[in-house]
Amino acid sequence: MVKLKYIFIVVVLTAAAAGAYPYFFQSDTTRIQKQIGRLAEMACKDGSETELSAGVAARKISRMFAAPCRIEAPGYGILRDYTPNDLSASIGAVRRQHEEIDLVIYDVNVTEIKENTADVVFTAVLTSMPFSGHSVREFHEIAVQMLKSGRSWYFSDIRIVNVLEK
Amino acid sequence: MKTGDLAFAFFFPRITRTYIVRLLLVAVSAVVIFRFVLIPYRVEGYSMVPTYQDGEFNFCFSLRYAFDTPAPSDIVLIRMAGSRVMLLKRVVATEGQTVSFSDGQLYVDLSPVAEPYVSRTRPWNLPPRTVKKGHVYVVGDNRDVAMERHDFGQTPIDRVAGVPLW
Repeated sequence: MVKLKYIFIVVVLTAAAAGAYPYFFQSDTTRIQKQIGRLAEMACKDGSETELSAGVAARKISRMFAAPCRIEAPGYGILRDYTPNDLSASIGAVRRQHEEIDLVIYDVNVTEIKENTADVVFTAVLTSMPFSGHSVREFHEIAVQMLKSGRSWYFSDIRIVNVLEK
Repeated sequence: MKTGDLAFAFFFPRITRTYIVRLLLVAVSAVVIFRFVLIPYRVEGYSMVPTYQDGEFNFCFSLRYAFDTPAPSDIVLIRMAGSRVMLLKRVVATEGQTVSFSDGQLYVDLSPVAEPYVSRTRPWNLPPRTVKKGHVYVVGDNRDVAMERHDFGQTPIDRVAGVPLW
């Protein structure tokens, strides 16, 4: 009977250790992939949202970016550094203009990790439905440099890769 | 062996070592083939209409250019950050050639190109540009959209993932 009790304790401890391991010993690659996944999840919007919730969502998303964060999107005429406040305002404005936003990320490749920075490329598929107009679906390859602070990774440099150069 | 026995043996095989080895071989071959050689994909969008319609299913044959390079009029799949999302386009020019559009007509090396696969065009106008070394110039067959809304241009050959199987 005593033996069985010890076996039970060992099994429970092993299961707990196995469950806690990924949380405490996540690799940087896993953390980066999760951070990108989280961004895609938070960017999505399904149906209308109040001014307040749009503001809260924009504020939460902007906290995932380094200060300042450089964004380079030549197709949209964007090339500048954004502070968290700028980002929050821009994201809030976009959310207010769109009824639905769906961002799906594919093929996340962490190409290089240095001590505090990482280079990542991925494909983003963005589907958006403005309150006035037609649904738009866009595909982009995005190159991102991420910055590590503590155990978290932040988006610090975002560039839309020009796959086809006219 | 009677037909009934054969059918029974087919649907309820005896689990022998040979059977398990065959099963594993089939599974491994399927993964290798459908992940690296014949990559399944579904056409999304109207960029290659009328040659390929939205929603069609096909495979990307990735070994097509193992010993060859893309040539004008080949239809190719262009890889983005990976092979989960690819662009389906037609090669119109290769390195060193000049490409231009005048009133919807494609010119390669300043000579008009007959394109029987294009059904309707809009008056696209694009000044001549030379295709860089190691690049191909790709355009979709659907020219019945504004030039600004159609993704086309030159891309490195190493982005060509393969060709549609049919």
